[in-house]
Amino acid sequence: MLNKKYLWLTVLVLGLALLAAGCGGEKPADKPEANQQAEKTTWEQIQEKGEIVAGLDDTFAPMGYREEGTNKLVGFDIDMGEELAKRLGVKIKWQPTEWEGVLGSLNSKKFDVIISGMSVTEERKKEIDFSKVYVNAGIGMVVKKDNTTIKTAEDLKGKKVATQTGSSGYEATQKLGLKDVVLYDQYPQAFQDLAIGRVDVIVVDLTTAAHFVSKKPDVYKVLPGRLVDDTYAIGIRKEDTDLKEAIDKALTEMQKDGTLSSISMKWFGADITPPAE
Amino acid sequence: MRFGPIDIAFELQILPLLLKGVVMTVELTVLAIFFGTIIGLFVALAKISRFKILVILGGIYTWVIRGVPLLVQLYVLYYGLAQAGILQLDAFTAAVAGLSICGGAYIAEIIRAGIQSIDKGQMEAALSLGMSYTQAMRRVILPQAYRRLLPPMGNEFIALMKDTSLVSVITMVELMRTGSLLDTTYFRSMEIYLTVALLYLLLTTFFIYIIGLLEKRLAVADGQ
Repeated sequence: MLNKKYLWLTVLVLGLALLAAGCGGEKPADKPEANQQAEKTTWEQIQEKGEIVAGLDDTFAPMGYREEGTNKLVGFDIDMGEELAKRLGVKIKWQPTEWEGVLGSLNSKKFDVIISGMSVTEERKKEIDFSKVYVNAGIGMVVKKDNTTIKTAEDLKGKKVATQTGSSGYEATQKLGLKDVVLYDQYPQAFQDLAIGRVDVIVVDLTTAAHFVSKKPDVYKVLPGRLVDDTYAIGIRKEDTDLKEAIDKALTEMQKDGTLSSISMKWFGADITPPAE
Repeated sequence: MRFGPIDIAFELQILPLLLKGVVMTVELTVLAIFFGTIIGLFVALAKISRFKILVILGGIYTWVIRGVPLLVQLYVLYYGLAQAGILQLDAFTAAVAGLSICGGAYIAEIIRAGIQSIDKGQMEAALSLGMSYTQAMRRVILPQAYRRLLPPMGNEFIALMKDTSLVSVITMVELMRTGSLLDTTYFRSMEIYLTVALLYLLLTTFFIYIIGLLEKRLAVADGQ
């Protein structure tokens, strides 16, 4: 008897959950919301408020991270974002966010744009739009300084490979068909575990790699060469075409007058921004 | 085939991966409950023992472990100990240890309260019949405490099962983490997390069922 009672309860609960899901799924098509958007675009709202809100992963050094000691937000993206906002004639507000599900947060309007060294990928393009590319980076490998066994992508097979969940480094490991991949929420933990010896190699953006290695050059080294090419751009909602236009225009100006290059020199010691057309 | 936002073909595609996550979640839960109950039993006995030092140690244990979030404990166990060069645990061991230590503190409080809820006269009577303290505990007190323990223990088991989702921060890939990984690949949060939710619900339902069954058994044994 007990058996049957609980079976029914289970069926009932599952049924209710499905029903709730069915209702929830139709909301986006509701009319009131569409009307609101037709009245004022995000770009118009930004100008009105005089403030643009940018989502970022504030642990992603050297693009955007907390400076040791002061806990202030610093990095390439921070410098670029401030300059961009100035040219747009507004203030910029940084909104640290969980990197997993960052696209969902953008689309549910938790912030206006994503400025966080975001790699342009085909999968992401299905969900959101991108500004023009402002950094030509790439995915590379970091190993311990005394490691001589890992030299190319071929050597990664059978090794403990670390990367960040949902990052373009993770995508690279999937493309390479690697099996033993250890996933970290944030890169600092992966670098710690590399130093301890829990993992053999980190597959990571070369920009991030350069930053960590420069801090402890006696512990880590970046291997020459790229596993995958990678470009960074600002994430924008698909419907915000006028905002994209304004951002692209400002970025082109910054490219032409050398502002982007000098920010790149400051953070990477090299110009890795795309050349102005 | 589609039901609202649910695409059945997609569900079938991700289900094998999610089930792999379920296996890891079940493994972690079973081990955590097993070791957690052992820890809990000893800590509870320490807290009600006649030796002051044991009482104090047990008190400190439950005070600290219940007062610090499990997430923080996991970070200390996995990253902290290794970085300080004290002990380098692998992720699985650290996860089981963290969950057991944390669950143990709560289970200890449940057991202690259960034992102390038995009338004092029972222990006095057993002792005056010539039983030793251990005998009295095993034959008189604990059998009566069992039934009162079951409902809160069921709660704790469910809580522990859901807490396994926290160990993803120390690189364990269990049910929840499998879900987030799928989400960063497919960007279909509703379908993925709804399936994850249903799988957790099925797992916790199992505990509710078992505990309910045990309660009924004990009630029958008591002739109620």
